[in-house]
Amino acid sequence: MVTVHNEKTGTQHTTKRGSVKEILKEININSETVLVVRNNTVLTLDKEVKEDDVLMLLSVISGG
Amino acid sequence: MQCLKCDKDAVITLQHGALCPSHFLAYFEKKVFKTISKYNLVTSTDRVCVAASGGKDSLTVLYLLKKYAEQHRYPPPQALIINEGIAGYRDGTIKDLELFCNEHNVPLHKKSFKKQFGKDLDEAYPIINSKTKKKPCNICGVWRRYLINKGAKELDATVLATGHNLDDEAQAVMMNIMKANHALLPKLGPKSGTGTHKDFVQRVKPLYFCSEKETRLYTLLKKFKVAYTECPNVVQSYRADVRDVLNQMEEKYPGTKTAVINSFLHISKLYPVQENVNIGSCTICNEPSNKNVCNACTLEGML
Repeated sequence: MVTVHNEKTGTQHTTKRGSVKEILKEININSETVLVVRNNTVLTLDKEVKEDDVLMLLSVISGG
Repeated sequence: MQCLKCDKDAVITLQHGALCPSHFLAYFEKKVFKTISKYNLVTSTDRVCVAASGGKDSLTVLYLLKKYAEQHRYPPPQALIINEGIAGYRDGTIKDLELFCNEHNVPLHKKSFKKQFGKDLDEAYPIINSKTKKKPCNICGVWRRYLINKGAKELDATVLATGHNLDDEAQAVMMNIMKANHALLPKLGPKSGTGTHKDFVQRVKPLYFCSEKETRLYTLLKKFKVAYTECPNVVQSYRADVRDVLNQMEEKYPGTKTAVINSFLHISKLYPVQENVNIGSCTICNEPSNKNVCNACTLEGML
């Protein structure tokens, strides 16, 4: 499974492997609102995420 | 996905193609500098004050205006922060801003609601809300605009730069259209307002064409220390609903936000230039106002 940490909510999801776009859709996150980081590298939506990978979702929305 | 300009992995996909970290940084800075020069946001004689919060947008504006000033041998910018007094929100960003200004040798000036109006926003909101039903953002917006302008004038600034980005501006256009606030529309744009008044410092928005996502990526790649906090009051705002709708549209139809802005810029040319001829002075604080008592003093009077 893939582990996804959400910076904004502090929550953690596990989901099946797939592209970044598929994973965001699976956990109901709008791709416009986050940057997806794996091992300190920002991923584009087409990148394939492997089994046991850990992703961090960085919120792009800040302020008021 | 591979970078449009080299064989490295891309970190962002834009409408014209994907870019790697180094090509994205160059693209982003070029876009901001082009906005500054195309819209004449800053000139060689301007004294620039940056309304900073310590968040990603204002730190990026501060950094790039300083870089632009150094490249063009213009006077360096100063920073002004307003502490609204919102528990668990502003304290962290103030520390980040202090650190940033210290590292980059930028003079930092501070003002607060508590010192100016006698109460923090958290204290003032329930009192004003009980009398007017106003939401925190309605109060905060009036007092912030008031203090930013007043603070910039005290610093003898000729230009007041803010961190408003493409998302903020697309939201503002849509909010004003959906609320039929036609009179407010001409006040939007990279150089706010279509008229001038001696007591209003000219506002400029160097990040006008940069999305929130691009700006966060820029600060991440530049390794700026930024606390990514969202104001706890934002959930009560109309803006948050408009933001969510625009993000849904952008995800499904990439380029939507840019199209909103470009359509607005095209239409805004049709608005007549507004001179602030009816602006007088508040009888209490002497700051500019189109009423006898300005909105900031009216709210303060309810405390």
